[in-house]
Amino acid sequence: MTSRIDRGTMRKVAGVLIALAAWQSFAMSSGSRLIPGIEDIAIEFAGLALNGELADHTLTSLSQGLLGLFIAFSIASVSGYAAARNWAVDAAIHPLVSLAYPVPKLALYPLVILLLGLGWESRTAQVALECFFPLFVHAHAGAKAVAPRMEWLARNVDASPWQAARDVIVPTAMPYMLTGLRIAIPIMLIVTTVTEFIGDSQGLGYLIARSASYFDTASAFAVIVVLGALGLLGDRLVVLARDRLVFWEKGASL
Amino acid sequence: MNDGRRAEPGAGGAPVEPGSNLIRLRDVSKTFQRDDHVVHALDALDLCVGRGEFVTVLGPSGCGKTTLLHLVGGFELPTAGTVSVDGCEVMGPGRDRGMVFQEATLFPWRTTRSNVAWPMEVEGVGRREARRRADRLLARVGLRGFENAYPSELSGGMRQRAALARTLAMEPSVLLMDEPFGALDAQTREAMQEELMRLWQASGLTVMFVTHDISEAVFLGDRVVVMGVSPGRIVEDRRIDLPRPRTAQTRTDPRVLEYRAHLWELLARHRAASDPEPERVP
Repeated sequence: MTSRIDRGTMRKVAGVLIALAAWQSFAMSSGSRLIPGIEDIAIEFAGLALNGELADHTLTSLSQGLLGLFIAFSIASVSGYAAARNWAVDAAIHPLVSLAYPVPKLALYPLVILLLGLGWESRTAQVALECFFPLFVHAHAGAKAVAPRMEWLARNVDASPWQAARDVIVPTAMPYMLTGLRIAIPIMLIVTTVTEFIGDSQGLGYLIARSASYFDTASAFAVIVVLGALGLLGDRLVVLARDRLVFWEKGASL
Repeated sequence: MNDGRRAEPGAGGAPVEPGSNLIRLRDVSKTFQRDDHVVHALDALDLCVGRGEFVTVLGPSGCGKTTLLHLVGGFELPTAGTVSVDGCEVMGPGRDRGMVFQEATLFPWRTTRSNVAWPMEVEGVGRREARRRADRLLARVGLRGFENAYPSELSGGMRQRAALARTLAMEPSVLLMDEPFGALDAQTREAMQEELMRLWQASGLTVMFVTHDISEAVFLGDRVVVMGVSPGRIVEDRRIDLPRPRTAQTRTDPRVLEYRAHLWELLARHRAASDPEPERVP
């Protein structure tokens, strides 16, 4: 069993190593200063990490991104639940959501800036706006996924709406909501980064833009590696939470 | 005792004397709108079930036997006619009528004990007391030692036992069972039938048990109500004179064979005359 897992891990590591080697040979053969080798990226990474800049900007980006994600999760959970359980709410919200889902919400960013300014408020709002949709769709699907038999059971037992929500509907919706979260986390990182390209001198996106403007591509890549690591970390955390919270759905992948 | 006795007109709200009918269906019809046509699930059906009686409802798919159970359970309301339990017209589900579904409807996120304790928690019984009573109920259905198991760790038969224990936790006076053993293998099913007989014998519960298995209907029931299709109606209400308590030995009683042969013939005749409608799934 363990040897099999080890073999799987080794395969993944091998894949990453091959990709890195390919990049390195590409960087070396191109001879362009704009395509940094891995050692250049590592040096820049160490520099940014040691002078504390990387930590500062990561903190800024994460706090804004996570706040936006939290706001989106809260609103999406409540409205998704309400729409799934009540046809009138569904009629009010669902068509709007379906209509707005395919619209690239970044198109609204100039308007969001007009409303909220260039500070953290507009970026957080933009993250919330973009993350809301997948979270809503999954919360809605989850609250709808309650088997009719379970509903009848709740009625038979004469559970109050609150008891039915707590004991039946929320546990059923949980795996769906975690799937939504797993989709929303990379979106959160993307939107945070893009909004930081513009305006305030804070955050990982700003760091990338600044490095690029100095033709310092090695630094830019160092920051990109951090973004990738954050995305991976967030993803693993959701998977871990799922294994803990939704332990009864064994073997079901997100 | 009371088989075949019909409710007198206007007797719906009258106080019921002991030993009389607990469940009365009077002139009950139920239609469903399906796409562009109307399905007559039940048509002008009359049925009475006595207090403490075990009635099995037998019929082919689509005869409305599940609908009949849902009407008594209050999950659906009749299009015409009245359904009353203990003298009160059924207007919705209630804890006095416990439903056992074909598939054990257990919460996969709760242990067996916690599943059984749930109806009591909902009622406001303290957590510790609910757990204590749940353990007692689990012992009653033969699940001692599985209190901490999750439903996924139980076999189909054990899950159905747990579901039964949870239904009993509501302390119902009527048990409505919708093909509860339909998904089990033959051996487990027979064991469960015998177990149910043992439980019921000591309980005083009134049971309506829906099945399409003739042997099961005969083995369990004081009466077998046979239903026919399109529209769903009662074609025979047969008293089963087999001694109580019924045990594994009952199965070898020669009268069992007679009843089975008779019911088989009846069902075959009515199946031939029907155009089958898909069974309504809850």
